[in-house]
Amino acid sequence: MTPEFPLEDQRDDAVDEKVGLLLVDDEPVKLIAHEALLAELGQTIVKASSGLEALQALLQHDFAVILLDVNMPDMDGFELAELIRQRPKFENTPIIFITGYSHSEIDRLKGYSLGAVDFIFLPVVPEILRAKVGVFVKLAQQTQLIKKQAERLAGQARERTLELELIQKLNQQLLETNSELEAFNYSVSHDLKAPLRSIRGYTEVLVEDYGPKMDETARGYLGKIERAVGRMENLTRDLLAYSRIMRESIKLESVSLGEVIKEAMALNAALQAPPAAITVQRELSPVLAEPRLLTQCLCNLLDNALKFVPSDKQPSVLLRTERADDKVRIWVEDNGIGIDPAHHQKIFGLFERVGEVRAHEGTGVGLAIVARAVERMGGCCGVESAPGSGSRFWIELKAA
Amino acid sequence: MGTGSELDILLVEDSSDDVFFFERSLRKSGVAARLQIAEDGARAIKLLGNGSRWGEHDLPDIVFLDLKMPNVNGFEVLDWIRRQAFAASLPVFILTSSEEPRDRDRARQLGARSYLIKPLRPEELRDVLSDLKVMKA
Repeated sequence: MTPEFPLEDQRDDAVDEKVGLLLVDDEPVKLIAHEALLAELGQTIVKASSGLEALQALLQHDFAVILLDVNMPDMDGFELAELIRQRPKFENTPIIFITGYSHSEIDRLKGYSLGAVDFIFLPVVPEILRAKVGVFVKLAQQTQLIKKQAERLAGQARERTLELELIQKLNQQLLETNSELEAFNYSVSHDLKAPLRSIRGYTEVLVEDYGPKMDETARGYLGKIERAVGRMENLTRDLLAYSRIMRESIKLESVSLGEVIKEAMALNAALQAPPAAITVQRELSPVLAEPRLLTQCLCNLLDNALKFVPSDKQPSVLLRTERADDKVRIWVEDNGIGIDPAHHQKIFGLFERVGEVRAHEGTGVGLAIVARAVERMGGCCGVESAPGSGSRFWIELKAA
Repeated sequence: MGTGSELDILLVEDSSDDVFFFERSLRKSGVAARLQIAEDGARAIKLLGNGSRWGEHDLPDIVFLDLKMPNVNGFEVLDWIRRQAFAASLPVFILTSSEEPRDRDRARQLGARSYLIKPLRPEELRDVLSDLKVMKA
């Protein structure tokens, strides 16, 4: 039995429910005698003294087995059996004929070759009667049990279907909420640009037109405003880039990494200026990617590689690829501060920053962009690192 | 066309701050130009279409067009310009804060000459305008 059926339940079912036995005989004495013989089977016994009474009883009850006296006036056992069989509900109900040894009866009995028919010769031997009826009682009980289990299974299936529908509905709601959040993020980030531009613009005007008239402290404050605006501009830029990954439709194509790296370095001024030493492996395997997304990923990884380096150390980055089967792993290896393995998963989440944030300023979005873009391109990414021994970030994509 | 060596510029921009920064950049660029402002797309179409100071076929030398504006946005203005026979060759430069590739693509499809991100530095503006002056001369 499967675990879906607790033991208790099984026992409930196993406690055989009472089934009906219909005894049909025109002789009251025989009816009473057969009833007494069958009483120990513990079932519900209904007696009928004619075919008509039997048909009435059949209208009201279900029976596991019908015992028919063949020799009855008006309607004999065979005629009654014909009528019973005509009703779809009883076409399979077992019938036991009780018959004498008359040749005519035996001949007609042979006509019944159906499985659900048996016969008992008069005089009735109690053990035989009980044994034969008992077989049909057991059969009826097992049929009922199976029917019940089937109903319960159907019920469970219905419940599962409902649960599934609920889950799908919730999923749909989640998707809608998610896309609303995406739209919200996009609108907010986009709408923040205009006021930020105004703050930056007027700050510049102040510095240019009134800077000479200000004292050192006032100019210092303006510098602080500009740096704060810069951080905010970076944040809106990164959040827009993050939301763009899902908004833009993408088409994967064969991408030469050399081109993408050049593009990524051109995008970020920090990547061009010495003293950063960026080494690119001579032979790079082409990958299947969306050029814009991959450029963004490498730009962010290179940016991190240079950013998280102790101030007394010259940043050094190695870019290389590793091909395995139909996959290419792009490695960006730095000599920076490294990352505790406990944080390796976390850092790819949105706004997750670890370590000395003050010293190494970031928006907390860069690696989330990488993870999301790589996922969108059907790849995966990760990092191997430990504090003090640099970080080796990797992106895995399909080989082109 | 404007007279003499001065360029006629139409700036379509709903933000007064951005108008201020544009004027400032233009002044600092040192390029001699007359600047006309349209505060939104509808006004730009009205100015270009009829009764403007340029007259029916007397157009500005260059249009700087913002994209996100109330009522009639920059794309709609651009589309309208391209469908006017007399204005079809008018150089339109998009000046926006949107770095969305899809906006860039759409502007190119609608025939924008270039796509510039705000704010426009005096040097950038000087480069754009001097190229235009060379062509005009």
